[in-house]
Amino acid sequence: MRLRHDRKTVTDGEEEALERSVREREGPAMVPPPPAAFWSRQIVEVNRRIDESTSGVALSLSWAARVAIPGVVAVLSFLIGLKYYAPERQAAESLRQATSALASATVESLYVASVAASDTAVINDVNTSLLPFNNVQAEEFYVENAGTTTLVEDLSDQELHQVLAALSSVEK
Amino acid sequence: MEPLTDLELIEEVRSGKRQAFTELMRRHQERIYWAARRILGDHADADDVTQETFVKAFLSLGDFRGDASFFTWIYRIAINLSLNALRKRHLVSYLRESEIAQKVFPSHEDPHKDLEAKEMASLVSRAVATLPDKQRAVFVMRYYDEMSYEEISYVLKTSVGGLKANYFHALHKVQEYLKNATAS
Repeated sequence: MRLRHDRKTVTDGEEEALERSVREREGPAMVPPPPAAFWSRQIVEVNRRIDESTSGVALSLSWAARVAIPGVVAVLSFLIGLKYYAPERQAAESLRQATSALASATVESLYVASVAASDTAVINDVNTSLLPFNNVQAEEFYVENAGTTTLVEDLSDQELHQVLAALSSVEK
Repeated sequence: MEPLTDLELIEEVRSGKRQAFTELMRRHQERIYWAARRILGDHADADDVTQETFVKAFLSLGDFRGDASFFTWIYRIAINLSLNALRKRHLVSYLRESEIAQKVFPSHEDPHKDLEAKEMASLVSRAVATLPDKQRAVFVMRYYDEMSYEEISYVLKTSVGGLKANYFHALHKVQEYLKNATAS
């Protein structure tokens, strides 16, 4: 096997010598030329084919082949793709249809309920994530920080325990 | 009055004068025909390629930018069409050789072979027919049309170095063929 870098570089002189040798051996050209009338007939034929290619029908077919058919195929592919690869759109339409079928008062009450539910959910989340202290910590906090306030002074020991119990229930 | 140049004729064609295109055809059709015929080896195919070349040239005249001469531009179309025709011919002959195709095309009915046989009058033509497609095209452009490597490079979109190697190999094969033919 010869590798690419093995290829011998051909000099102009070598090429000329080889070409001359071929021309000397060639002998007289014996390929029969076409008759003289052939050239003018060929021109007529080319003009006829150009007329055909530029006629209205040919241009319409050409336009259809290059623009219209690919365009229709592209639009169909897009629609089919949308139908099979975007099912959420179908669901969204169903929800919209169901909502529009409800009475306006029902929609309003549903909306208010959903807002309230989401608020509660947020508060619960805050309680669990931001207030993770236990009973002992709460008691210490109130004793240390509120011990001198009137609130603590006014409360009996039993009431203070009830307040702490209520606070501890928030933690849960 | 001096005859119009190719570029002036092209401008006339673009402004709607079809007669100017006929003049362009008249100027170049013979060289295009002979290039195709030397590559393809028969008159009918060369005629088809020549016609197709000029029809294509007319329809895509808007793409002609003038970075090469008009002749080189249409010559390139003709060579590409000829090489396509050769590929089709190889495909057809491959199919004909296959078992199934033998039933469809009986071997005694091979009009293509008859035409080629008529064409093989010249030794060099016979030698050229044995070359691979690309070498054949390079050989025709360089040997018969005496084109520069730069022009051939524009036509075939191949580097000058590669073309030189192709031409040298083609010359070598043709020389070998002629030696053997004259010896026998």
